[in-house]
Amino acid sequence: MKKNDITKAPAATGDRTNQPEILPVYAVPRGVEFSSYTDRLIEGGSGRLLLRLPCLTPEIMMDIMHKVAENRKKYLAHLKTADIVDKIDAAVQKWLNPEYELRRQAETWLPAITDYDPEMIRLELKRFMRTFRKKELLRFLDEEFDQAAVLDEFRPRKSGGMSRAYGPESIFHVFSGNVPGLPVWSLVMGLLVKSGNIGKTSSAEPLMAVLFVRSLYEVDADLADTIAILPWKGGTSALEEPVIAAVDAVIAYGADSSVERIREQVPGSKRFLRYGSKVSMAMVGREALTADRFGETVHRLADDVSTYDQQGCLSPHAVVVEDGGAVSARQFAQLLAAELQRCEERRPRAAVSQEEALAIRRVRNQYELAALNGESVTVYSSKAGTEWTVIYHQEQGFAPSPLNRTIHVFGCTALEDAPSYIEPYRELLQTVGIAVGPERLQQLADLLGTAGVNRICAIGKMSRTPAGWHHDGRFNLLDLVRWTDIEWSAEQEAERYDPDAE
Amino acid sequence: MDFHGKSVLVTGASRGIGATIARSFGENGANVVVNFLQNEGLAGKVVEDIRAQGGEAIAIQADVTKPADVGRMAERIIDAYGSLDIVVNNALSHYSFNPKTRKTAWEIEWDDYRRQIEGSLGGAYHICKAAIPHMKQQNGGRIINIVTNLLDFPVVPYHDYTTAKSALLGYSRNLAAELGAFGITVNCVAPGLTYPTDSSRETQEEVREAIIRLTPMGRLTMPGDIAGGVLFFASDWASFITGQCLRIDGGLVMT
Amino acid sequence: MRPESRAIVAEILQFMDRFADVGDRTSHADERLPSGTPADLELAFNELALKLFRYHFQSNPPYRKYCQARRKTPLTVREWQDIPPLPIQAFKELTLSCEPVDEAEAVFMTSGTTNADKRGKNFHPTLEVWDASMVPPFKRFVLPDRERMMIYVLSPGKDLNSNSSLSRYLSMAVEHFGTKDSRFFFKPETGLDMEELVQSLRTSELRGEPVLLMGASFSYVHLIDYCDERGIRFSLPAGSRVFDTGGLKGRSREITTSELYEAVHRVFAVNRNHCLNMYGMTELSSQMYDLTIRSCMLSGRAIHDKAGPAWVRTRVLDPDTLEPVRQGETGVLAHYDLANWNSAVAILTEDIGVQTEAGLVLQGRAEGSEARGCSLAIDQLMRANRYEKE
Repeated sequence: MKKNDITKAPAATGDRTNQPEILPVYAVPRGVEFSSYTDRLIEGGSGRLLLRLPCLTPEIMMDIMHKVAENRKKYLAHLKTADIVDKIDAAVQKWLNPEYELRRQAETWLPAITDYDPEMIRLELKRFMRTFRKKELLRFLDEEFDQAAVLDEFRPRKSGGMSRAYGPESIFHVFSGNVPGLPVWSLVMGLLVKSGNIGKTSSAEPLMAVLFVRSLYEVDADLADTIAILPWKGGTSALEEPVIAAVDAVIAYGADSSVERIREQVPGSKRFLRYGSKVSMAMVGREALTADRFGETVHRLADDVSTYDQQGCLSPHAVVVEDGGAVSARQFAQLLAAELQRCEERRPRAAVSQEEALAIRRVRNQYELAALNGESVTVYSSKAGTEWTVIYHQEQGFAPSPLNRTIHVFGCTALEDAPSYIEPYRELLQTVGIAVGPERLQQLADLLGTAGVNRICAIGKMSRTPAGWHHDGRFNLLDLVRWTDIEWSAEQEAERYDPDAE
Repeated sequence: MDFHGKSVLVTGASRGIGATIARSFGENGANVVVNFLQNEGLAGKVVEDIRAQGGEAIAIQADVTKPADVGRMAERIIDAYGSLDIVVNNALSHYSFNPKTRKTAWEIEWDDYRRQIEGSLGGAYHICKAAIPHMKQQNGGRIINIVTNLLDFPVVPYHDYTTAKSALLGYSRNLAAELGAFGITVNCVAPGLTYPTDSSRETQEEVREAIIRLTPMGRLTMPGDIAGGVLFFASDWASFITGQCLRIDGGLVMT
Repeated sequence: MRPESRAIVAEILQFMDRFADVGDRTSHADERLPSGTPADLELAFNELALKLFRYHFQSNPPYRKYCQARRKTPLTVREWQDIPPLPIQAFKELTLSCEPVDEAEAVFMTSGTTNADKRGKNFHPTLEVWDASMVPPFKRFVLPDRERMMIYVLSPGKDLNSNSSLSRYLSMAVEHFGTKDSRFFFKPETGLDMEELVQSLRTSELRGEPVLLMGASFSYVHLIDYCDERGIRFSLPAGSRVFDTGGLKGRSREITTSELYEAVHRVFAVNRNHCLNMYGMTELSSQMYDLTIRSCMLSGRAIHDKAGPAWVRTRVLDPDTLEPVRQGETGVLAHYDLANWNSAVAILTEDIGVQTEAGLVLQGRAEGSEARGCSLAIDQLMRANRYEKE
């Protein structure tokens, strides 16, 4: 092969067209210089791409941290929250234009980097960016602060005195690569509380955070200079130590093992927020299984299963299907299987690793053998490979899935029995996608909330959260800020020293 | 088209159109079930022919109008091949296509209709009823029902036969509407007068000639022509086609 | 045993006898075997594998259902490669036997949990085949150069654990290939008797009689730790060799294979080319071996890849599709073992490996997968539970 290339000696022009495009996957304040880079080749349907990664050293990291802190102090710390919202909105507006150069880059290269279906990425990215428009950001702020101006100045309190909220001077974000774009959400939080931000991207998706910072740069270069986005291999303590030492807060996303590894490095005095491993599920009531509705119900659930191949913690591992509809739980499982096959034809699952494929095989085997042993379980699965799997259980229950479009379907006589079998997953349960009538929603929600669930949404919407949701049941901005109160006494005292006082 | 690893049941496959369809599947790698009512010897010959070519086939006796027979046959198929992917409903109650001896509208009895409906529609119904659970289980399947172009153009009004086939067409379309969600397709093949087969032997030469004159392709339908249409519906090429009826009659009927 | 089983056993024994001297590709494939050409072997293997498949299919209803769900029946399976490999989990979940299980001469169980119900079981109505499968390959791969040797065994023998295939294996090795000075050092109450072992090794060192150490891979880690702590070093006589089996993963102290062999060299002065690893499983009735010793004897060049007897074939499958990978690619291993006549002729492991020119290279057991982000994959959850329990 090699020999052929040489003997052919293609013309220089031919060579040039073969050159892959080079895309830097880092964003640093102006003035930071790197002496060398490594390139990672990505090959996809849209051609070849070189991801350019800077070679990092502890010295460079210190320099970057220093510049981020300086720039923040000089600029971002003095911006009004309303101005920050406007600037983020301006960047987001760019992304809502289908012709926007960076959006097109993302749509072109994210599928090659992540192997997710291009159409799915295009759709999900667009939906995702819409949640950062001005009105959504304002809603987000209002959700957590009575008045967002507390981030700008001391504001009077109803109980007397005044308070002001201060965000961390700098935040270290450790991103995961499962869902493209998620880092944007974290960066926006950091900006809203006026922090300098440094983000470590995952090799699974190093691009989106960088592109977003480039958009901010187009809007306001000084603002973009308070952010650094860098790729490095997680666990490189020579790089992580100086960063952690320099920041006030760390936000870590991803699998428990990696989150835990970060946590061990963060001293107790610093704020540490984690968004670790969670599981979600769906519930379908008989109301959603009438002869005119079951088709749509199945379709929407299949959408929840196939979006980002269940890699986000919002995606269902299992669905509980109630008796008494026009289709039984078993038929629901069969219909879901056929629907997942259609999803596969429309938007194929991303390639999986050998370990992931084996994990699916193992689960298929487990239940298939159980069925041979007389248990009332049936495995429906894609023919060629591990593209999708539906495991039907006659008895109600919950079971985690190996993901990548594998889902359990449990029959049940009443959804209200759910607490009995979700109890063991109390600490892990996050979202429940639900399809029931209005008279049952409140009561069921209360049962689920008591059992530890922190988000209840419509099926078909499981992987899309609105602005201002309580991520993992917590506040987002409020968990980051600290407060300074001017008490009533100080105010009164101050009055006394007014030379002009009566 | 390669049907390797697929199992196919052809009802009424000991002779005529059914035998040809079974052999064609065999030639293309399918595991074939040759269903027959009485003619064990002929069915055995079809199986032998398929095996001689390196294919796989078994013959199973079953009266498709008897649910118990059909149930037993389905079990035997799963036992032998582990699956049932394709069903071709070709069997019908004995019928002789003789324009001279056919019953006229004022002679025909309700029992004549009933016999044909039992055979064509009833047979297909029992077979589908037994096959569908397996097809749902494997998230897909193909059902192909043999009807006739006489539905569109009753050159000779074989009242009972054609009415029963019309019912089968209606049945097929309704089935298609409901089974699509499970990945199962249901289609029909509507041949013209097919020659040579035992049933058409009594159709007189002049009638055959008259049909040939009206046919753009200038001849009668042959069993192999029908097999072509059936194999197409069973193939991956037709994976998104359901509820259709394909005329195979050299262009005699155009709809 | 039923007459059918008798006939099957007889046929397998005949096969083994005929092809006892075949089994690896150290000497090249086109060599003319005394027992026939490679094509003869292929033919005989195929014929017997299909016969076993039919036998299992007929005798074992759950196995039949498993195969039918894969559209594999005696009518559709025409080559041994078509036989669906049964996942090793099936040995836990199903009773895989063509003969009444309570009449079995031996039941080999997988290790792990103490709950016998949850352990994989391979029933052996007779051990004739298992024994016949063990001896010739042992000679071929472990002692190609000699008839007998002094064997020191670190792990329990069959008298201590009648449900362990490894214990039987070790006892068989001593019976068939050990000199009278061979010994077992594992005591039922106290475990591996280090002191006695060290003393015996010293004696062997002094007498200049080479020794074959045999035991589970992890028992060496304990032995090496023991010697290191006490500064004990040996210089075992030339010809000595170290035989280990089983993995090094999933223990409280994990070390790599090369670390193990380095330590063996450091402590016993036995070099890498005199160490070999045996790959065996409760779910199989035959073993595979590193070609290290045999290749060194034959060509002076060490090949560490693994090979087995003529009645075992391995296919490397893509875990996603279970179709064979291309030559040289890694995948999950499926073994076809004609000696496994009572349970399943084809089994699907969770071991990852690659087929090479010389044989097979094992790359360890699949350790389960992690989700790429915040969603928790089942394996992580299982692992978390496992750690809690430990």
